[in-house]
Amino acid sequence: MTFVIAEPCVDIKDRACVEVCPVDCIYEGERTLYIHPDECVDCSACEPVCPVEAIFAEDDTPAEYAHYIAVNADFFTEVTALGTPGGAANVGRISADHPVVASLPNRPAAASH
Amino acid sequence: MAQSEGMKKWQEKGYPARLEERLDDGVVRCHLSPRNCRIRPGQHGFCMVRANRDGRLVSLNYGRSVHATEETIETEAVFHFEPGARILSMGNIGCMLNCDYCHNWKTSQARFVEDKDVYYYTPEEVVDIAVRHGIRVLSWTYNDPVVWHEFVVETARLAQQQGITNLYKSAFFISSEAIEELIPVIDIFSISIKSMDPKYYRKITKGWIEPVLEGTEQVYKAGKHVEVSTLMVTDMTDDEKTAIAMANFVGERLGPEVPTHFVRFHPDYKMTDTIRTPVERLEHARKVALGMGLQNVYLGNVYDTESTNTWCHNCGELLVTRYGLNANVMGVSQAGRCTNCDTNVNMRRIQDIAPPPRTLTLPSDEARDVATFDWYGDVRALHVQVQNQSSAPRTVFHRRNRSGQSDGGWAPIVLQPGESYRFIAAKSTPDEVGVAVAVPKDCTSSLHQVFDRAHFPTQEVDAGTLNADITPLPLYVSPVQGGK
Repeated sequence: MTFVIAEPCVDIKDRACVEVCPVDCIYEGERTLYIHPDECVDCSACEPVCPVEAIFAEDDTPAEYAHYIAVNADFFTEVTALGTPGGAANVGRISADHPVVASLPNRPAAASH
Repeated sequence: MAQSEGMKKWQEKGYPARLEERLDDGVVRCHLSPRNCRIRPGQHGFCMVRANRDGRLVSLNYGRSVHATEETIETEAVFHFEPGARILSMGNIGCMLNCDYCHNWKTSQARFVEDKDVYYYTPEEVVDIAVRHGIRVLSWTYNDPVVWHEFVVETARLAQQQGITNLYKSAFFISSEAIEELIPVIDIFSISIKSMDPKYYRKITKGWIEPVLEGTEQVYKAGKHVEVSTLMVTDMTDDEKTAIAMANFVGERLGPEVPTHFVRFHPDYKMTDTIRTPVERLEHARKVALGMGLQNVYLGNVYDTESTNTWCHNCGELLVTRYGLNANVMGVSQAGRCTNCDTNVNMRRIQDIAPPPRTLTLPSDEARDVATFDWYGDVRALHVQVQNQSSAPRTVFHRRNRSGQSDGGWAPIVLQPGESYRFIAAKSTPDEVGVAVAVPKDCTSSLHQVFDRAHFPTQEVDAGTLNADITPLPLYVSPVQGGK
């Protein structure tokens, strides 16, 4: 199991989850954040701190966001060649997004920071 | 801690950990806290002090600690076990929670721990310190003892063999199977229940409430001495609803005799844009809980109140008076009963415990420098750290300074060659103005201000950002949000 960041994060990227993640496994793309499924330790810290309730345990991901399980995983293998870097801090912001995210209409500016 | 940040010296050596489940591909699951972190080789869990090294679960903080510190049992929100007893407090590194207001974040959040603040102990050394200084209670405390499980269990067993009582002060986010390993060696559980609201637990502490309540019940049913406390965070948990829910929990799932502490909060860590808990809200919470039938309800981190005293719930006799972290037993028998009406007041005693000797004048055997510190604002306690730099035993003395009257005299502390010793001096009467420490020329000393109890100060007097008003605390700056 892992945790998954779904659509509510897109164009928000509050990063409260990044601050509490003990293993630094939450990576920043252009429009959303991604959890590395192989680096996540299942500790549950990130899910309650998300201000827009974008984070779900893989097994509890709502049907409407089920495809985000693959969005998070594929970001590291199909979309980019990041693989398993072992920590987001050294990678920094990545100028890419999964096509599912990239194709979403932009949210109004007022919704983002 | 990001794996890319590089390893600190204290993290280098892993000690075989208990409660390990081995999964496929060298992955391990840790069953110490209810998180059950699934940890791949080279990774660590939420606590940052339990890791997978070569496919095995290891403890990275075994014997790695903040300085052992002599305090009083009241420091740990324990009011019904030998009031005034001296304890040896052992804190460590890491935590299974990450509370937004943590009062110990410099040690509980392992990413902020610096090698210079880490001390190394063996179980034998810890017990030896307690025995040599005549301390009868070992307290597993500060950041949280849960994440130090192996060292706690092994040292507590050794201490027990020397007749020492073990006290466990914890937020108790721990698995049932780990509790079973504690029950044979721990005598006192002082459990901090952060709130009675499941949503608050998730969001503010990053844990969840159910295992905390179940664990508290588990140790109570095992016959352990249990006291519970709640940090009443301003405008969050300092309301009547929290008091009612706590009283319900204690009264229904534990027993009405279980001492319950409502503790005053100070702004800290990520929660600095607020104020200390108004004392009248704490007093109201106490009245509510007493009105619901609890027998012993106290305020914590509040000095000038009678709500820290103990009265007999049957006849109303004053049994124990307390000021700050100090206690005077007035009417409790050695059997833990009210001396007026012989009611059992749930007060456990340690037999043959003697107060340290005091002398009215300093002995003239050797020259000593006398350092003084005056209480100010909300700083009414101090950690004094002294080290014997010589090759022979040395004696340090300390006493309290009062305005216009004689005090209890100088208390000696004998230091072995090279020994470093740390102890608390807390304001013990309203008219006490400060503390004095007499240190031999070949010993060194440093003073560390204590801001509220069960807090391990890392700020030395005259160092860091000292706000002369109320907050001698390190300032947290978010590494992610840049101080947002």
